[in-house]
Amino acid sequence: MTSTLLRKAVGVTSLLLVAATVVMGLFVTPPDVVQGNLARLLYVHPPVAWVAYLAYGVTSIASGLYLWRPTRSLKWDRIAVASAEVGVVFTGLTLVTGSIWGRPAWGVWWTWDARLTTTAILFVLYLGYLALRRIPLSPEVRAKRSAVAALIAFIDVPIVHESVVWWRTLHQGATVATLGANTKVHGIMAWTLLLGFIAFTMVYIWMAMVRYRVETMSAELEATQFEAWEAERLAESTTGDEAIGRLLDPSPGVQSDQGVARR
Amino acid sequence: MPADDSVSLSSVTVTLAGFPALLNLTLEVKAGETVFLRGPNGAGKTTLLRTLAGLEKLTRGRARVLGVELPGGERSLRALAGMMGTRSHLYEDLTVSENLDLARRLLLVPSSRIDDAAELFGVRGRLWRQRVASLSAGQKRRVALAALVAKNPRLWLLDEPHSSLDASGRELLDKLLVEATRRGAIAIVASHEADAASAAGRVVDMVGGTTRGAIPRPSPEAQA
Amino acid sequence: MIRRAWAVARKDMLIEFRSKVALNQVIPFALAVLLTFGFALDTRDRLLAEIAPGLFWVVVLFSSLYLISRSFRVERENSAMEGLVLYGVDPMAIFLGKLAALAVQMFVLEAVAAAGIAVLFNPPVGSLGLLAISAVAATLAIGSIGLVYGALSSSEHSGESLLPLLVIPVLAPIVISAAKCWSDAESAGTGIYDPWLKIVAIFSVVFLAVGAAAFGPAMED
Repeated sequence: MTSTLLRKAVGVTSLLLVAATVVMGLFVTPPDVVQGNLARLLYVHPPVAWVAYLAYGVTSIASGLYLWRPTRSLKWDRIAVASAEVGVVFTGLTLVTGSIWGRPAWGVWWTWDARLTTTAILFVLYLGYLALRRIPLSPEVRAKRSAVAALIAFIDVPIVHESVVWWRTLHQGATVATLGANTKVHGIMAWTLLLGFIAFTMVYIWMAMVRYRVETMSAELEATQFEAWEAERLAESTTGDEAIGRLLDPSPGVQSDQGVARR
Repeated sequence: MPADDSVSLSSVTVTLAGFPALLNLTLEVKAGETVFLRGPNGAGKTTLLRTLAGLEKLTRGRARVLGVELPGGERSLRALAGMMGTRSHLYEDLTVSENLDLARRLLLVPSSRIDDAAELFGVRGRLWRQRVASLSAGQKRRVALAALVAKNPRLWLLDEPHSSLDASGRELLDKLLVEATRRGAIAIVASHEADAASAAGRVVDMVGGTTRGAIPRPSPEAQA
Repeated sequence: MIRRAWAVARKDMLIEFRSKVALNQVIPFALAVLLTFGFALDTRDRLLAEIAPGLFWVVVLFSSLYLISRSFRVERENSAMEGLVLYGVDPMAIFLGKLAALAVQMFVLEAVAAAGIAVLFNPPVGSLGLLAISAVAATLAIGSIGLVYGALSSSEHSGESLLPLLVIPVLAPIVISAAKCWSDAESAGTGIYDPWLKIVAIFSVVFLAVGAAAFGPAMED
């Protein structure tokens, strides 16, 4: 009950914070000197991207805790999948908001910048993770395999990032980094940005909690299923009369001629 | 060689995809014993054999098999037990001799052992150079048995071993089990009732993932 | 363990020798893709020579996915992998053996694909040493990660078509750096002291280590 209350409280808070961010971002803060109203994406895009990385971080930690024997529990697997799903949604949002910002700012929807490319690969990487979880397997096997996949992804992301940075910087300057530096953030804008970060982090926590609840509920459903099966199994094995009959009157299938002869 | 040559399971539960294939199963088997598992489809016979081979993990309960503790010792148990399931474990693209040669290399046994085993099961002649894909089910089973004999396990786990074998093959296998158990090995055979009747040993009825009315019966070898 | 790994490798090579799936199906596929690229990009010589390195590694990666799938399909027939496990072979030996056999098949594939590119696209070749060394490093990385995901996605149902989605993003760094190595090798320049070769080598070591560590947990249920 308390967890339901907490979940609702987090949900309401996150909605209020997002609403506040919208108001602050659209009406209170001034337009940027260079980018005009476009700069208002600042209050959405970086927080969304941060949440995506935060979500994958949580997935990685939970997966590691699942694989480590002393802490092995399907609870971690549920946290991992809950967080990864929200992470994929936010990675998608990061790519979309980035594109929307990039089109007017740089004149293109997409550029082969290191950060963009890494994010795109990250998106596909975790789509694969979620697809892997869809293979019909027993919960323990699925948990183990997806934890291995999540940890490989965790090791892979910095490698992807470094390789893409070298790939690009050996040829051209990092476009986003220089553009980003032009946008001076101060005063009310900084506060709104901070608000954005808090708001989207709360949204993430809320979504992950709801998703975790769904996982727990389906696990509980499986547990009731298990109890039903267990009862069924027990009933199978304790049909009393017949068993007693078998015990007391040796059936012809059991007592072979050879055995009788030896006695 | 560890002194412990027995099998002992206490309240073992094994779940497969959430289903309790074995449920609170307790079983003791002494060295040199032959046990026939009998029961309807879905009683848990195959799961019990796979668990004893170290292929399934215990969800609850504890077991001690050939001195190996379960859960935990699955990997070392796999190397000790000999399992013949319904799948032959053979590579379809390789010939009989190549499959058995692989067994020799993995078991680290001399090739004369493999030759003898193949000879014994009659797969040394015409079949020797044939691809496994072209063999009949019974012939595949003979090849798998040859590999099993070459391993000479102390725990023989056979799942419906008589299915698809001809009369001479069955006779050979039964003789082999008698000799192996006489030398102190354990044989656990999931089998039809008709098969159980033909050989000496203990019959364990399985139903609902556990044993029912284990009927002890002294085997001739144990008395001797 | 080395002897058993060798037995596993030998077995996989024998299966290929008997069935010739790589030779009769995968390598011709790679050549067909190269030809298709030629048609699609309209045989502008300069362009083809320029994109040849990237094209080569894309073709090698995609073709390797078939080899990896194949490597696990033979183990699924008759549950043969379970048989290996019952012989007491530990996962590391299975990993090393299968990796060795896979790498040999990939080397043949790469040699044929490279020859195809040389003939069809006519790119300049500056440093054969750089080409060869980077190819060896990248092959081991692709094989190693491929085997782990082959084991992760192996199942009676629906697993096989998932392999490309899982492997391709993880191996993006290898494709990038190997393609850069081959680009540099076109122009001789630094020879085998190419900065990208260092990067390929480091990635390759990391992916090999990750593969060796993850294969056991991925394989055992």
